[in-house]
Amino acid sequence: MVRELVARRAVRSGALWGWVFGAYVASSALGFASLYKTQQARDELARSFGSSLGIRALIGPAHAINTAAGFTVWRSLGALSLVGSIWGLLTATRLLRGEEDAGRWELLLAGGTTQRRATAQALVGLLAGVAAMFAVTAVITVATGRSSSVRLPLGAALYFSLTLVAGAAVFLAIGALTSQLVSTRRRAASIAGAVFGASFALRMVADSNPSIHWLVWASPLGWVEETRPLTDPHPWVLVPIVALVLVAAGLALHLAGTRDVDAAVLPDRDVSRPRTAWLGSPLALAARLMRPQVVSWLVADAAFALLLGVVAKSGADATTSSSGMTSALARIGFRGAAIDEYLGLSRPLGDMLTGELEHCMALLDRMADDGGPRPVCELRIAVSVIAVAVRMCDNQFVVLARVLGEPGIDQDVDRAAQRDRVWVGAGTRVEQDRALVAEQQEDERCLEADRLAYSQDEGVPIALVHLDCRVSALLAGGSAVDPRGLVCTVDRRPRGEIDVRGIRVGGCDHERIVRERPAIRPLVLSGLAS
Amino acid sequence: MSAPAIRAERLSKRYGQVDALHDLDLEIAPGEVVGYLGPNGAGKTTTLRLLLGLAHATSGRAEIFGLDCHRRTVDAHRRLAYVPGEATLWPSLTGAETLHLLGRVQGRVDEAYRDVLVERFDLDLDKKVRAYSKGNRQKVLLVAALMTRADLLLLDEPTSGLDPLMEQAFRHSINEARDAGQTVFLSSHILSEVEALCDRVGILRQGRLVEIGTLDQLRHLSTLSVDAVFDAVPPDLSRVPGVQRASVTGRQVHLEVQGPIGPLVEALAGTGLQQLTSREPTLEELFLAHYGSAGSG
Repeated sequence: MVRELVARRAVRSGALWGWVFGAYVASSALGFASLYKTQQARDELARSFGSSLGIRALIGPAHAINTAAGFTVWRSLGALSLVGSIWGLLTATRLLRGEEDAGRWELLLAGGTTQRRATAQALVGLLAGVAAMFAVTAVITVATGRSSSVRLPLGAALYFSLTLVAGAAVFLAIGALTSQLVSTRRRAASIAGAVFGASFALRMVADSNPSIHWLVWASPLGWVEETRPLTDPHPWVLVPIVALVLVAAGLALHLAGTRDVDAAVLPDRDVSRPRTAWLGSPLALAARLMRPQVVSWLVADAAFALLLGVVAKSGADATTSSSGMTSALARIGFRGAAIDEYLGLSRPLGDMLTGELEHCMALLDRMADDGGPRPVCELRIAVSVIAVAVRMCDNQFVVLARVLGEPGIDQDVDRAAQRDRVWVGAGTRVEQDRALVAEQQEDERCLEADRLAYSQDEGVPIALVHLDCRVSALLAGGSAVDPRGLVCTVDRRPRGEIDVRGIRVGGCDHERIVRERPAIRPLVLSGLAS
Repeated sequence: MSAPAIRAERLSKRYGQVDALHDLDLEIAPGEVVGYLGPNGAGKTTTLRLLLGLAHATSGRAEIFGLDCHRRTVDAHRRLAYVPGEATLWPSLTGAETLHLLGRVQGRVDEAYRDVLVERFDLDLDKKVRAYSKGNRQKVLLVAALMTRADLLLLDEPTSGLDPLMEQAFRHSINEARDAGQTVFLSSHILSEVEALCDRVGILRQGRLVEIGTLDQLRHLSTLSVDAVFDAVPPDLSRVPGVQRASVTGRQVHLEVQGPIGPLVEALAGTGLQQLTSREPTLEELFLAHYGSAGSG
């Protein structure tokens, strides 16, 4: 029963993120052909970014990025591994130590089970979440691979999907282990987060300098990178990944059987002298309660800044050595020194690593748990690697996927910059982060207060998800999109199943969608239909 | 002869330097309803956690129906149901879903009896747990435990948050459990509840079981309260054998007598006694006698 309870929550969350992963991969793969129409543009892309150590340190190596497959891996693997890893550690600590912290774990343990057996069942439930993430990612990746502009073999697409969720599996197991080590969810997540940070730092340093590239083998994120899907597959690298998952999970099981419920392997400090200096007012109380997080994030920020400083010079050198990249960066507003340009490029990644993603995960987890609508004010999701614009309307939300480091080449620069960081709030206003947009482009934007429209075909997939019915609709390559028209209605039959023919998107019924707007593809995630 | 529902032998648990439970010897027969009293931090919840196998004993052992609580945890759990002290549930589940889940966890449900309990406790099962008050969450836990008809009910302060009407419903349910031959181990702060329900009472102080017995046995060990009213100045009764304490207010005397009352009755003869009343101590008085008037331990 523990297995089912944990799986119920992990699968919802995993599938939701699998959907985001899939959308991200699809946007990269399908966008490649429209963004880089000529071989010349593709070769220029490879010349500009393919050999840049600085860019490699940030988002991973670029192998054969003048092909759709190489470009997709370059944009997806590094970024989504980070997202998956954070998902894994947060989900594991939430569903293991978090449940114990809340006092619900002992209710389950009072049934016909033991602490060790219940932990084993919970781990199976958590792995079901990873499996759901893989399944949804794989379905979308395989479907994308069948496109004539992408052409991925089935096996390669499945292997790619597996590598995308490998980070999630690794840090799920590490989160399970840290849940046994300390007695609060926050501390368990912090320790797992520190392991993640160290792993990321090692991977980044290793990728920034060829002479110490061997360091990549000291980092689980480096192993994921070395799987090299689609371009030069190394499936044997999955062996240490699986071994680490098994070892961490095995240790977690062993420790679970040797400790008391509500206790931890590492000693906890339950007694301390009163410190009343921060308890003078509600504001001071808030500051006191926030202090551990603030200090943690400051330390994380400082560590990331230090790391960036270490690799910035090679990144900056690479930036200035490429005339294509320099002109591209200039067109999206970077006109400072090379180091400034490089640090500017790395900023979104830093944002993600220092907090925004956790907020986003917590929000989506709550939505996955409850399946119900949420106040608009709660739907302010901020992610820089996957900028997700969310619009809440009658149990639906709209996800607009975009990608970090949209290579700004020639005429594509303007549009890439335009769709950077678009925040849509309930159709009432649109906030635009202008950090990466040159001033002269502001007037050209087609973003309006209650309307999200692109003047040209952007090839950006827009997705609707009906939260109650778990039905999504993918609108790929739409030329103009009005959020007010994006209403996805679904009929349910009396027994609860969903009538696919009853799906309506943007005022079009199913038949009309199929007949007139082939770009709109209703996609029923039947595994999630409850 | 059937194994005791609960048996603990020199059961101890230390947390660092703190003796949470020290050499507990306890035996509870099947079908008994036993109250377990003690102030906060006395070791009641620690005892329950050791019996459930949720904590590892520092020394000693415990059994549930002859099954070692640590080596045969799963078999032991199949014969018991547990109500924890904190009513923490899954906020996104409804009451009905929670009962379904906890029924599956326990592995058995008497569905007809569950419906009776739901009606008795006036529980709206369609509401999500996050919309329940603390009392309603407690009711869900009580129904979840009682509906299993488990051989042993381990209840850790099960009525905290219940209103007086629901308290009556709880007492009714425990009496039903007793009639059905179930064993109940009731940890509680509410002395009147223990007094009304329990065949035996154990009193825990600083991790040590200082008393256990029926209320009559405990009262026998304790003092009898006697109030006497005289027509004139009362005689000095403080030297009468058995009198532990005597306080005089005008023509009234309050006495606390340990052991046989005969010597006192003889001493009162021919003293101008107008009125004599005596009563056994309440459980509260017994409890406070162990802990002092502040009830602290």
